[in-house]
Amino acid sequence: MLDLFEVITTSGIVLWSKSYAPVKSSIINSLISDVFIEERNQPGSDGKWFKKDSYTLKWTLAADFGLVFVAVYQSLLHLTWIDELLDQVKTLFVALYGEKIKASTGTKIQCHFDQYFEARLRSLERKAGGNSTIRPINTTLEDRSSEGNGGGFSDGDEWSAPPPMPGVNHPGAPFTQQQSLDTPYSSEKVNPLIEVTPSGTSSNTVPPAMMAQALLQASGRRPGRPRRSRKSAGPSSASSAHASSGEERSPARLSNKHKRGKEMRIWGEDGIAADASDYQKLDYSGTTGISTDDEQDDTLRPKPEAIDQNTWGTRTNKGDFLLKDLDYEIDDILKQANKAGKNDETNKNSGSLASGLVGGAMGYLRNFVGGKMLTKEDTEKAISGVMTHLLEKNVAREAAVQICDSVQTSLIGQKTGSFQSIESLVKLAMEDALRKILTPTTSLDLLREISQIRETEERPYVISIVGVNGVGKSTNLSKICFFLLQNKMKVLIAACDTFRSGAVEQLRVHARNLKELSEREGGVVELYEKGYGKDAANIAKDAVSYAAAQGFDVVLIDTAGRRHNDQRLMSSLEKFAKFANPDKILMVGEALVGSDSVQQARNFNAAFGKERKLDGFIISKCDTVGDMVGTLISMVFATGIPVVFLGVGQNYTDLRTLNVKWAVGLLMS
Amino acid sequence: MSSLPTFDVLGFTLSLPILVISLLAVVLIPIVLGKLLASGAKSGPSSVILLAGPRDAGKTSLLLYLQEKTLIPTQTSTTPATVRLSPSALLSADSPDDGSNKPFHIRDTPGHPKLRSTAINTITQPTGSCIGIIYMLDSAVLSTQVRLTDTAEYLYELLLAIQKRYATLSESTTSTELIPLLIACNKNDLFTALPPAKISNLLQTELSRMKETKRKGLLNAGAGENDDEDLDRVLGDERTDQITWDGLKEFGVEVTVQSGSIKSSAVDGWTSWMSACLEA
Repeated sequence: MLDLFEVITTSGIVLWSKSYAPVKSSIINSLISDVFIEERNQPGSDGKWFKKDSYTLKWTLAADFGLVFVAVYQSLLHLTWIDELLDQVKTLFVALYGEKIKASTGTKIQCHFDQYFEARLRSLERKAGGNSTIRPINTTLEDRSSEGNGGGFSDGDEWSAPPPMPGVNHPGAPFTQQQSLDTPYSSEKVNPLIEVTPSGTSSNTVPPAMMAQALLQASGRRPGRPRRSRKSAGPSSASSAHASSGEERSPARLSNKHKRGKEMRIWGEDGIAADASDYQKLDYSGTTGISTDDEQDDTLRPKPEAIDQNTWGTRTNKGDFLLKDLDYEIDDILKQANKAGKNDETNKNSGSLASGLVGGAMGYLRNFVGGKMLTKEDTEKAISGVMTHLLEKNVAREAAVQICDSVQTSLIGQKTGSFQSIESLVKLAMEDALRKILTPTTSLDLLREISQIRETEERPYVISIVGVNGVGKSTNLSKICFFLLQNKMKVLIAACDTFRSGAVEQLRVHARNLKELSEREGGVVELYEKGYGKDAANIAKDAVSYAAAQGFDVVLIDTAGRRHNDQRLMSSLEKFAKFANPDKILMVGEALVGSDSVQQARNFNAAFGKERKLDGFIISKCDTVGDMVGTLISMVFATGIPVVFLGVGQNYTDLRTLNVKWAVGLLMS
Repeated sequence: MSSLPTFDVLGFTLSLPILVISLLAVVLIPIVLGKLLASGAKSGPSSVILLAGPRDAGKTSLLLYLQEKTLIPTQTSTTPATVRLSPSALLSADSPDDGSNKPFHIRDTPGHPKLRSTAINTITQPTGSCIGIIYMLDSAVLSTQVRLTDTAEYLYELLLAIQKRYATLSESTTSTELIPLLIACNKNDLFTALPPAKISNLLQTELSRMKETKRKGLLNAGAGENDDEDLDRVLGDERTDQITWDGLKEFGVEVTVQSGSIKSSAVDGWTSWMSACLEA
């Protein structure tokens, strides 16, 4: 079922985690770097889930506290309650530790969250109903307790000693003691239920909600019990070694006697219910029938009393009692959070006039002075302004909308700085986002890569260039060739556009020019051509083996232009990538293209089969668009593939590498 | 009452105390209000040690280790964190407290390539006082070329930023101190970890090679439009491609290479380096 649940701060600290099965930490790392940093959602996920290896990850963010809640489970399982769990855990965690986290400014805090989490998890599973969910969870509980004691998340003594729970009405440790001392500690909330359990009388203080819960539990646990016992009979040999340590934590591994004790406790709950209303409950528990209820009542009621006292003495069942009152605490917290949320809304809608006025005035002041907590409504106007700006810069609409969305979500809950307007804050955030998008994640130093390949593998470095018709593939290939020749390399140009008339001749002219230009520099360039009509992939393969035999440093492969939405043309690229096996596949895209850029980039990126992706973009004709360089953003955003070169003119020398600062400056100007 | 001087302002007669008080109010109220409202904004910390380095090197772990003295699990960071520590955090538990209790800050920065600008910006802002930089790396993965390139590239950018800061600082002030840079080779408990001397050599060669290809490489788009971009393009001496730690001293960096391991609590070398930073 659930394999791992973690609460992480954005600064990378694991505040709390609970693992039910070993999961590599790289799984969550890849979620963070792929989704949070590089903002690449997996196709179809819509930013709601992330699959890696055989796991599915779901998460929720508490932006104002800088917290990330991540749940990891096997993709095979279909857990419907994960979202609810995430939300509830988030509310709980923030309610319990929010202040602490804010005060500690993103460092480690102590949080003893285990029991809260367990309680929530169980109640959700119960709600989800099916026996199938209950059984495996109980087995995973066994796993957990056996692992958790050893080298789990934090120091071992947390397990044996009841953890202090900050920010909670009645901490765990005093609770059990006070139970045995019989002091009316937590008056209406907890004591009635527990006191009733042994005595089975005076249930008039039990609120109906509690009753319902007892009912729910009874009905929920009942079907699970026989399975559990069957289960524990199976792997008990494996888990018995841990029995002593795991006992107090995991009800599933209680010995027979203790298990009976647990049943009794449930029966005790039934007792409450029976007193309150009906025979249904007894009917439920004692499968033998209604007729015996009188005798059974008499015979059974003393028993739970005895066993319960026993468990108090040995403290083994403490976890369960705590669970009881935790449930109420948790419900309280969740309710309060809900109420607070509603209050906020009602305050907004119809606050009292005076407070509304004061609030309004303060809000108005904060607009200028700063320190205003941003909400979605506040940013709406500024965001739409920035969006229009991006669209004017020729960013594809799809990309612009998504970038603006992510900027907006990142801003919610933030405070404006002193004397900082919302507009300037949004602008700064947008600049950051654009910089993040354009910054490459891998080294783009072509020369170093070539020399490394030449030194270590002694084969030519292969670059192939693809793109839509007329974007400047051959021109940019010649520019790259010139650049390599300047660095005294031996370059072979392979003419693999065997389709368009004049394509080979065009390259021949380029090769001749380049040869003349670079003779002094010491570079060597040669054209590899096989005429028209042949299969491009085969020519490319031949060219590479020719280059290897002749000791060329680099092979540049020119390909035919193709429309990115023509499946017939695009399908040949996969074979091409397999045959030529280029070190770099660069796609040329014009800066002139508008909304189509996103689709072009995506289709080309997907055209090389599953294992192969594009390695970079060359954005051509940048000199023709002035500061409207939005295509850069659209293409990189759609694929997460970096821009390697920019074409900025007609000459061989007009090739540039991307300067992120420059591009962001242009886009935001 | 009559002894107090009065002023005639726009037809109103005001006594001096009232005038002074009202003037004070006019000046102070906005300041106080601004302080109150912008209470969230922090003033820049006084002495900062910057923690930078590629992903998965152990930056956040070191930070937490200094704070908590235990190993705490971490994940990839997405935001920087600044933590205030007292110098006693650098001492191992048994050594005595020397009494110098001026607190310092450690700024942990994310190592993901897309977020490296946070560390770079911290350095290039000359207003912040950066008393030392720890470049944390994973010494167990440097034998693979890809990771070495990544590590060296970030270091290159960092050194460039330091050089730039040094240049701007030495223009404005007469005496500029070198910024100490510790290359902390973490995870030396692992079997595949390289010795620090080897790492030092590898990085210097890699940096030199990087400088060479950068020199030979294409111009940046937009180069030449604003001059300061060109100024910091070359790391170290312009006459040679060779980069050595000694050669970098001229450009404001004093490099130390030390290995250690957070996992096996072998961080004494690093903590003593930090203490030295604080005393300087």
